[in-house]
Amino acid sequence: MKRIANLGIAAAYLLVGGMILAMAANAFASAQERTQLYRYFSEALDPIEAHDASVSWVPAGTPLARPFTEADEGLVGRALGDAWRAYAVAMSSGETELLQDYYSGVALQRAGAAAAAAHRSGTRLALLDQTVAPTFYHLDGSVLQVETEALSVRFAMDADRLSYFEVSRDRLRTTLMNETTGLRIFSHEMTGMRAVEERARPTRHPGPLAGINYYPARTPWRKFWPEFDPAIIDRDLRLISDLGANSVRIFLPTQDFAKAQGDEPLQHLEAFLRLAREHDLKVVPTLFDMNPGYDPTMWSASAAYLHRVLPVLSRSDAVAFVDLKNEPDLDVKRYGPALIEAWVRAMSALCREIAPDLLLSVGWADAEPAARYAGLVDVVSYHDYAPIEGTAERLSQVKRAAGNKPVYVTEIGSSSYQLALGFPGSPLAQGRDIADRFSALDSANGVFVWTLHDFEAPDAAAVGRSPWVKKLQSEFGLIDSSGQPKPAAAAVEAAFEAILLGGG
Amino acid sequence: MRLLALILTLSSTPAWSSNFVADAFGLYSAADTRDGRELWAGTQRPTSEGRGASRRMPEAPDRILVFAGPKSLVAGSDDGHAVAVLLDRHGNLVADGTPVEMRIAEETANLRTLGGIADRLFQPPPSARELLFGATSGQRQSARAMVRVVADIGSVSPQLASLPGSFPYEAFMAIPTRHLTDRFGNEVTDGTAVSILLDHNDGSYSLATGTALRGQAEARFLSRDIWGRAVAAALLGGNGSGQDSVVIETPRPVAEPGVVLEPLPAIAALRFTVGPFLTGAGHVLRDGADIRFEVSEHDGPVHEALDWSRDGYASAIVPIARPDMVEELVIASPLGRMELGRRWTMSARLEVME
Repeated sequence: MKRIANLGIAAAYLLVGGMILAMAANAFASAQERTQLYRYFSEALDPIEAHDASVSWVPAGTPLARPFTEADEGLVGRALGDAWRAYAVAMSSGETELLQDYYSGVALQRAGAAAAAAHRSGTRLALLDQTVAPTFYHLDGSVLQVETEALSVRFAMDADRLSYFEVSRDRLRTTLMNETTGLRIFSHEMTGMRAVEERARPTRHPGPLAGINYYPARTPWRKFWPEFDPAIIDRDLRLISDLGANSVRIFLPTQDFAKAQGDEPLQHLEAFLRLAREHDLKVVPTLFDMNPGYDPTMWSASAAYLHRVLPVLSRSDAVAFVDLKNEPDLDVKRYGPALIEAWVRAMSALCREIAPDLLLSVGWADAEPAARYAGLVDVVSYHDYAPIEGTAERLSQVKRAAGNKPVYVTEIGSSSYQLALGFPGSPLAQGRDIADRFSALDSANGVFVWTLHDFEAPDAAAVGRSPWVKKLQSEFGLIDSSGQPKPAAAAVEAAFEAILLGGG
Repeated sequence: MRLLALILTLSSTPAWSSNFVADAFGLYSAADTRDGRELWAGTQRPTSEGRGASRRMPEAPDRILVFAGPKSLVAGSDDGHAVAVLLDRHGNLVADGTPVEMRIAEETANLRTLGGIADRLFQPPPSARELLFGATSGQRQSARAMVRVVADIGSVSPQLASLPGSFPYEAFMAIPTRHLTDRFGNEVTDGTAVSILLDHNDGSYSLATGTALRGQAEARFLSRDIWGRAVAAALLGGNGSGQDSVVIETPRPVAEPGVVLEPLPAIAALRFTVGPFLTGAGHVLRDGADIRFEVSEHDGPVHEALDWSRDGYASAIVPIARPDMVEELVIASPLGRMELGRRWTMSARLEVME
């Protein structure tokens, strides 16, 4: 008996020692993951496009005393863009001191008072884009007046609720003075305002979609577009097609498609759409991936991104619908629901201005916001990683809220990562989980699986730095790291066949 | 469950509950009058349903800002621009069509505003002077603005003033211009740069810049490396004067320089060190001046060597084995040709070696 007790104590010691070792190893791995040296601050920060991308110019309607040159357009565009970004910062922070770098005279007083009032009352103004024409230019360049047609968003936040939202086309008259430190806004008045009416939305149905979320195995997330390889993508799209899929969901990171990156990413996007078409695959591009935030300070840069990307997407008949943003509801805790709703509404409005024929969706992480905001989109989509038990019920709720709009579950999946003895998962369990999820979602108009490949190195910027989560994320694929299909691949193939036979 | 679905659908297009007013700077509460925002001119639109946009009109002019420029105009050439920006007592740009009386020097122009701005292009008079500007509207008057009209430098033909017969060597020599006026007779503005170019007649040049004062400019040179006949010209903008001859006295030696002779038996040569070369102004000859050595032997051969003056001295090594073989040493320098014969002292170093 005593011997048994001693054995028990020894086993307990071993267990505790093992746990301590495992925790230490985990902590060490985490520390390794979190420590990264940068030579300059700017290298450590996500670059944000902060130039005059939102300002476009039209020629003066009447002759000016001084020629308005391309260099002037650059300088004045930058002054206007900077001034409105500073105003957005002042509204958000309540700090109005910075405005004196961009405004003077009457406009400085007004911008300061208005920004402080906006901060107090939770109201905001964002200029998404500005089309500007010079109307007066002093011969010596000291006084400039411009007329602007701006796509403006005004909204108000009451606690966590969006209490007012409006998109309008404003006519603005802005007078700038060339002062010691550069051009500053001296006077700013609105001469006209026209509410942007909601456009008639496209009502076509993308049809049943059996799809796969896609990154190449070795260049996932942020490496996808900079290391775009058409040969690998062609091979992968064939694999997707061979699995019986008719669609693929991809991600277009904000930074990769910013103006500063030039035209190459857009050419890659065109190439991807062309390859997908060759494989008879529809594409669901997801915009604003890894967006640096939702603050109105950045909305003009977001508008510039849409002006670059949407024309490419609208030219291709491979696009099934556009996901405006991936899982914005996961950012609610950080930014608040009202700001995120305002951003979604603003960007939706701009999408419809730029590409009215594209079907628009938002890839919510949960069913609840998908149902709540079903009215905002043309196609309702959400992700379902929640417990399998409520899957069918959640879909039913979303479908009821969606009315006649199609509902797609654009991410389901399960990790096959196995630490030991089938914990927390296994390739077999992955296949079973996915098959069960497909069954519960059989009334959806389409389902997309996360993801085609296992990833040796998931991007910490997307999945976080926890070694545990990274391990799990690395094995959501239908094809393992050696290129072999896992059991889940067969389950998905069968489910896709059912979706496409059922007609969505 | 049907009720829940209905609520969810309705909440996606909410009826906004607001009592805001939209203006150029965003939204403000209709009840919040602390900033006087309702007085800001332009479009203002209440957000409550059923109420259209209204246009808040500015009031009468209260403040007039005048911007006249460019601040320096070329007489009879460049256009100028007189601009008045008119604001009401709240800081709003005044309404289009507001009458403005603008004074441009001695003239008066009756103008009307557009976008709060009234302006007039004008041509400056041919006389260089200050022009004053002002504007009035209603009972309000602007502060005074000023523009300076300056001489048309492009039309100035610079000429050098009469120069003295000669300039001394190693002294400052001032070369002035004549009175510099443009085609309208305007003096060039004080501080205008005028360059004087001196051609040394040996392929080298000197350039000095003077600034105009009361219509005349002057540049000063130091004649340390110039002598004899040179040529001077004045340059103003893209215009140059004719060329005037300048004579600079030739430098003269104060005394014959000393010569130290050092035999170099290891290489069967002699080193001559000559100096100091002293000028009439009491300085040593400038560094870098050419010093030419001519050393003739008793039996005929003549050896030549060249050195540059440094700290007033120059030296040369000539392939003559012994001092007694030297017939004569002749030195040519900017101070002239000096026949030094066999007047030298032997190097102290030689004595030590011996």
